[in-house]
Amino acid sequence: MQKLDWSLIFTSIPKLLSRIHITFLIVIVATVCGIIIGLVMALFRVYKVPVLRQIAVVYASFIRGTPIIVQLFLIYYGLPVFFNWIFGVDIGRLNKMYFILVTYSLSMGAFFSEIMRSTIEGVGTGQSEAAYSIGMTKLQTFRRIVLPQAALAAVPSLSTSFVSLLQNTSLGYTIGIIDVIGRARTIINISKHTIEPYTAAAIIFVFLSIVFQYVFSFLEKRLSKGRGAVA
Amino acid sequence: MNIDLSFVWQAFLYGLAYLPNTLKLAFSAFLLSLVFGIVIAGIRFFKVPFLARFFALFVTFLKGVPMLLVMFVVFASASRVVNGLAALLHLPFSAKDVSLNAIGIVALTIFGTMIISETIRGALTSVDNGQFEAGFSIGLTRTGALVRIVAPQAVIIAAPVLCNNIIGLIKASALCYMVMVEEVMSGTLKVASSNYKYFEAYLAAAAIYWALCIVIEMIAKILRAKLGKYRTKLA
Repeated sequence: MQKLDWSLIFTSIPKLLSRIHITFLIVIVATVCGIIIGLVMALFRVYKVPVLRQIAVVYASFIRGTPIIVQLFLIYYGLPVFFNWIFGVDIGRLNKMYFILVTYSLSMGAFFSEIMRSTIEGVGTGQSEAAYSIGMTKLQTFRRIVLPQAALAAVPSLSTSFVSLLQNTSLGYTIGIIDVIGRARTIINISKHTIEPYTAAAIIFVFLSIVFQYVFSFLEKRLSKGRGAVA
Repeated sequence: MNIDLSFVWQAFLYGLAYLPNTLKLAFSAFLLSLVFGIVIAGIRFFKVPFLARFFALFVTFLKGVPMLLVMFVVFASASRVVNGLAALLHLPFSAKDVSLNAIGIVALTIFGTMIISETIRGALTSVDNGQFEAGFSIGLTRTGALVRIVAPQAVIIAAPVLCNNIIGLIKASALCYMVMVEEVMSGTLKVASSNYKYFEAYLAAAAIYWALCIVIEMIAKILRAKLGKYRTKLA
């Protein structure tokens, strides 16, 4: 049996880190797009917009009910078919990164829509009524009164989905993205050692998720600072 | 749009044939994780010296590792660990006797133990500390108060979350196909490998997982309503 080569773990880490920007790119784009999609979907549901509300419900249910790897391949194989049908253009040869970004944005959007819906509903109706009573319009009320409170309440759940997004990015290699995991597999192919490069990748992911958790808990503390003074 | 609907149906039926194995993977992992999860949550809740710190670190570490990596590492080290154990204990088996299913279950259990121990711990800590004190005041021991007062309340809080954890395990079990375990994903992909209609195959797989998760979510909803009713009656 092959002996474990501990030094390979440490020599792999810098090689794996050279692909870390792919992970960051996915995480940042998906979070920003996800927040926008999620907010819009949450508004459809909270303000009970006909038809769009049902679409939002089905969308969230589908994303929550299927494994992300299935979603990834549905987008990867399905989006070119869909584009060919609607616009008659072939996007099959597009950079694979776009499919990854679309998948994770949609996935994050669904989770954010659930989070935002519950936090928007969690802001008491008395807040909206108070705003209406001083003559604010519906839009102003939402933007100035409801949204800031809802966004603050969403931070802890956002941190959880953010960390799970970070881990889900590891699936990108299945459609041929060379991210941290993809790089680990090339090291495996060269060195014929399996466990050590994977361990190195695990160390990177653990480190990143711990850092992100700290950042979010710091953010939460900072944001809720103003709150204590009011109460 | 040229989607071969009849092939979606065919792949759906193929995938359905592997549904029992997906359920077997997810539920055996769930039961094992529940046992480990309760032990770890208990140790952390009662702040057992050393062990509590150890498991806190263990859970934090596992939270950061992608499920895919857990799967790969378990798969890669299975033969090494099993052969080593067999040699150490002089048992008459080797890595060849271990089924791929077992590898899937071990990987899912590692993931499940992490999430379920957090669920149980969250449920235990959400029960007000005054409940313990009330128990002590009528002469119950710590175990007595836990078993008779706190645990029944914690179960009510934990039950719907555990349903969510099962959904998480089912979704994670789809990754088992990467280490050649036969389940819904690999079943639907197997039929597609002859004609490259992968989009249809993934549609079929998505339908199966979605239906399964909707059923479990409904069970969770019923549980929440039933258990919640009991709770309001108390108040």
